[in-house]
Amino acid sequence: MPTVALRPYKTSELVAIEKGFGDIVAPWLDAWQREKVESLTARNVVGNKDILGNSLAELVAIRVTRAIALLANRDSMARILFVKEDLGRSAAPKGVRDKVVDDCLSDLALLFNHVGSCTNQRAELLRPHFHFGSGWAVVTVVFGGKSLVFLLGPELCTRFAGERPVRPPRGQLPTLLAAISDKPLAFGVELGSTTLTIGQIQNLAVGDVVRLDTASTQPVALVSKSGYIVSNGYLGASDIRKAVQLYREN
Amino acid sequence: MAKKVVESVELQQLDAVPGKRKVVTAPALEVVRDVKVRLTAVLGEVSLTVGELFEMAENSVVALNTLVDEDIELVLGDRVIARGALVIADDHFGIQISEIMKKE
Repeated sequence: MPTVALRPYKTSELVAIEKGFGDIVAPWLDAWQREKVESLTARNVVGNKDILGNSLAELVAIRVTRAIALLANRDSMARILFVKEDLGRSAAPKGVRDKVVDDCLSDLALLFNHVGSCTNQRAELLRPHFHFGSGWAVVTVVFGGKSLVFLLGPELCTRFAGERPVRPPRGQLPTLLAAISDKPLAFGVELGSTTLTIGQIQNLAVGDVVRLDTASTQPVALVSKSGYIVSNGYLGASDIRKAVQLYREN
Repeated sequence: MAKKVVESVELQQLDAVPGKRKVVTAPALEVVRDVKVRLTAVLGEVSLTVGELFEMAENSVVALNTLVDEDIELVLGDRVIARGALVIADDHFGIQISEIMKKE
């Protein structure tokens, strides 16, 4: 059985947990928002009610559970992500599923019983709700009269599933991406490059032609801010603007 | 074979004393003129949301933020060093310089 190392709470922390949104929650939440989960931030997930399909109370619960979890043990929570995915598929073999359920629940039970004993609140684990096809799982816990939704990420599920990784189904935009689908991205469109010496650059004059390495039949590249080539395409025009017709290499 | 007289060498400590005059006497650009650098020609930018990006399929057309006849940029690192017209020279894309950015 996996164990969760718990540290004693300070009274101020426990008061904060009970209040739900104590001062202690905000800094943790901020820290979480800075954590990158493939550029997905807490605000994107928690703020998107429609995609998550949660009530506001549940969303609040997600924040609170995250805070409690972080207070209890940061490492254990690295394995417990709060993103709900409900594709309603069940692809993992039943044995694997049972193992994941058992292991997750013992982690969570330990965590919550500890928090419960510190706060005199009764923690009760409800029947878990797992979606293995998507790689995400949902566990509902009643704690201190609040229904808390634990959302377990693929990392956790994969760990318990051993060699067999649990992946989102292909052919549709995973809900994780859907949660950030409105986020704007900017890509540079690069025609090509060439190598010159500083001396040559110094001598450049108006009218000079700098020949690039790219043949005029070659595609141009869409490059992300981090330098990653996202796609290639052929240069053309769309109305009065330059444009690129995308294609996928290979 | 005659025995050579050898002496051991003891290197003296050199103390760095701040001085005002630069020791590189050649003009800075002369020293680095043979340094090779990679220049990239940038056509413009495309703005897409994450959703739009992942819906892109083969043959999708995305418009850039630049006009058809607008000059393109020649970039060194993250700095635009020149602008010019998009041309084709010897079956290769090229840029015909129309403006050289002033040195800062």
